[in-house]
Amino acid sequence: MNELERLDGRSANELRNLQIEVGVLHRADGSARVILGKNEVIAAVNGPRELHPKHMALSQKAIVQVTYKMLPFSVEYRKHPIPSRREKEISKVLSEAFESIILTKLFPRSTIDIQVQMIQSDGGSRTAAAIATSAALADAGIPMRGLIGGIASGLYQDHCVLDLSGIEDNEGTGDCPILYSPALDEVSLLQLDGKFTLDQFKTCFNMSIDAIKKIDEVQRAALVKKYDVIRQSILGEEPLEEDDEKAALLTVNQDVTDADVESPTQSEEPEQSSEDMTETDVTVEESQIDEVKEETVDIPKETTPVEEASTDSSSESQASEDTVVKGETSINKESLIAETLDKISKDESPKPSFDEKYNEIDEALKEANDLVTKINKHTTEPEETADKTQSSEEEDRDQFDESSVKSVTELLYEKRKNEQVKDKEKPKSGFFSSKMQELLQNNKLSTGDLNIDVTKEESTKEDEKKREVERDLEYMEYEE
Amino acid sequence: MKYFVNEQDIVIPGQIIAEGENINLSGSVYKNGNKAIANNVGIVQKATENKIRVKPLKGKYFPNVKDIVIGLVEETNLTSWKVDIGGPYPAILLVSNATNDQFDPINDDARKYFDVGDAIRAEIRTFDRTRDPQLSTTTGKGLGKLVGGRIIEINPSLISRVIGRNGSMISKIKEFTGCKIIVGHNGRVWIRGENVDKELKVIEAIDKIIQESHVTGLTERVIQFLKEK
Repeated sequence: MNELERLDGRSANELRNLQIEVGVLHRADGSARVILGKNEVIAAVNGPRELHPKHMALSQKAIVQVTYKMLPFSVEYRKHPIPSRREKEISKVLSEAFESIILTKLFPRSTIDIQVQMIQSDGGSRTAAAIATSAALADAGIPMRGLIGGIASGLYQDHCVLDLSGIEDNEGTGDCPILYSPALDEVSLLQLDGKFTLDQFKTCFNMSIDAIKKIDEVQRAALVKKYDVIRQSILGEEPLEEDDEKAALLTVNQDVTDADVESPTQSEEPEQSSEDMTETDVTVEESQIDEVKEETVDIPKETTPVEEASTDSSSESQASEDTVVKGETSINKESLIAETLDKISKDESPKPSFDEKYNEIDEALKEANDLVTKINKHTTEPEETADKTQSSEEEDRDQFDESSVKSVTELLYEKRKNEQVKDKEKPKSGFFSSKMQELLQNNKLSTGDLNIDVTKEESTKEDEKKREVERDLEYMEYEE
Repeated sequence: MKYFVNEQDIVIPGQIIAEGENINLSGSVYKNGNKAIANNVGIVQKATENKIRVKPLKGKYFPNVKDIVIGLVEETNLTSWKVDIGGPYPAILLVSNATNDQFDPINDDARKYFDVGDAIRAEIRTFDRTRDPQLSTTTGKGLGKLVGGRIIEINPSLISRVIGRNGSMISKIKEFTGCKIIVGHNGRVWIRGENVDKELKVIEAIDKIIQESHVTGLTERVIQFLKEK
């Protein structure tokens, strides 16, 4: 078998550059722009709204209408604006795929309209359209069971490759787009073009599922980012409660920190370590995928030298950090806490690329957990603590024993659990709801039926009360 | 019961919020087995130990009986009006529900009550999944035609934020601007003030509320904003 050489130098299971942005259009209820390599697509969602013509309406649920459209300048030649066979096909398969995850039963007799405009197309455009549609639906606030991600894989030069580009798609002998929902573990679309052996198909499928899990994270980040940016811009101006605590800690140990800690070196270190963290993170993921690859297909490891180099550099930097730390073994525990808190607060500051931000927040949380345990233990060896706090992420991972350490949230959960045990035995609210729950537990109802009625029945009384209060209030307003 | 998220966290469709028996759910959340899963982009609010509420950050209005809504008359017929209330379904207002007067369709004109383009404040009288909502303007105080002013549309899940706890937010806005404000359950807000500037000030304040509704300490920021203006 020949060695795989892709036109853009990617490895077999590497995605193209993926960017997602939600809320790009003002007139639509929800919208998203997705850039996947040279694909660019905008999806707009309107609805649920009144359906015309009315005879198309279904009395039990809403219908989902996806209109996929390629603009005339989206491909090499001028695409004639009348809907082609390809556009009709993609509109249909996307409609059916998204109907399976939208809770259409909540809006009988109505329609959810989705317009997908392909601005630029370069292979795998239907999966890019699906990613955009999924993000736009969530942005429009349409109830759905989970997000959908999608990616195409196929055969190029007799190799299984992920995310085919336009030329690879044309020259390749197989194409297999998959839409998959990681939250539900459901495949909502699987098309297959060309001849695959069973092993080839399995390889392609597993590669796609792994890739879609990554895509899902980008989607989630894009959706949260829209609201998080506002939150951070506001809270950046006003000090948080955590910041106050930090300030208090600093004031208590001000003498020590001022005397012993050199501020410039300290401020540089956290940045370095955070960069290292992200690097190692990425390489770990790649190596995991490489393992999968080795099992199934014989493809030379391309990423290993890079990985080694990165680990080397990280270990070097770590060594340098160690020397710095050993020079200052007399640092107080409190001052170290203050530093790490500083580090955490720096990590949480808003950054342009949300991928990095998320990694950093994760790591910051891990560090915080570590810190809590240290405070609890009252460790008497300053050297050890210093090493721990300053060590790189890789070492941290080895030392971080999750079973022995309970995070703050877990402690909270346990506390809640204990309190909950006391008033656990309460009668259920009604015959109907208990019956429904029985059915659900026995898996007699499908997930599509989703006991919406049950939840409604359980909360109707309180809702009614609330409603009455709100109404009274409004009357009052009018009387004023 | 085990929680996977914290209070005031933003959740995404498909995200598991909690796991356990006898969870009481409300808002944008559904149950699958013993897991509570979000079905919308929303904010987690845990009212009590066993209760989870997810407040959606966006979404269209869905009618409920006894809701007070602000509608726009779209069509007049001999004895009824078709009213746009903003959801997936058009609402019907019958003359018998609009007035207590004697109404004879041969001699009387329905347009003397409401005409196309009028804004009305009405209560939803009946609604279920098989029939379109029916409105009524005789069943409560302060229902009927809204004269003058302007109407803006906001996200219906955020009207509780615009009103505030026990009307704290809206009373502050009224106090600072002197405008009359009516909020409908369907996300329409009617504003009438002495002049355009005051009305625009209200709109700016409401815009701010909507933009920052998911961040704590909203009331203070809005008061600050109103003072500056």
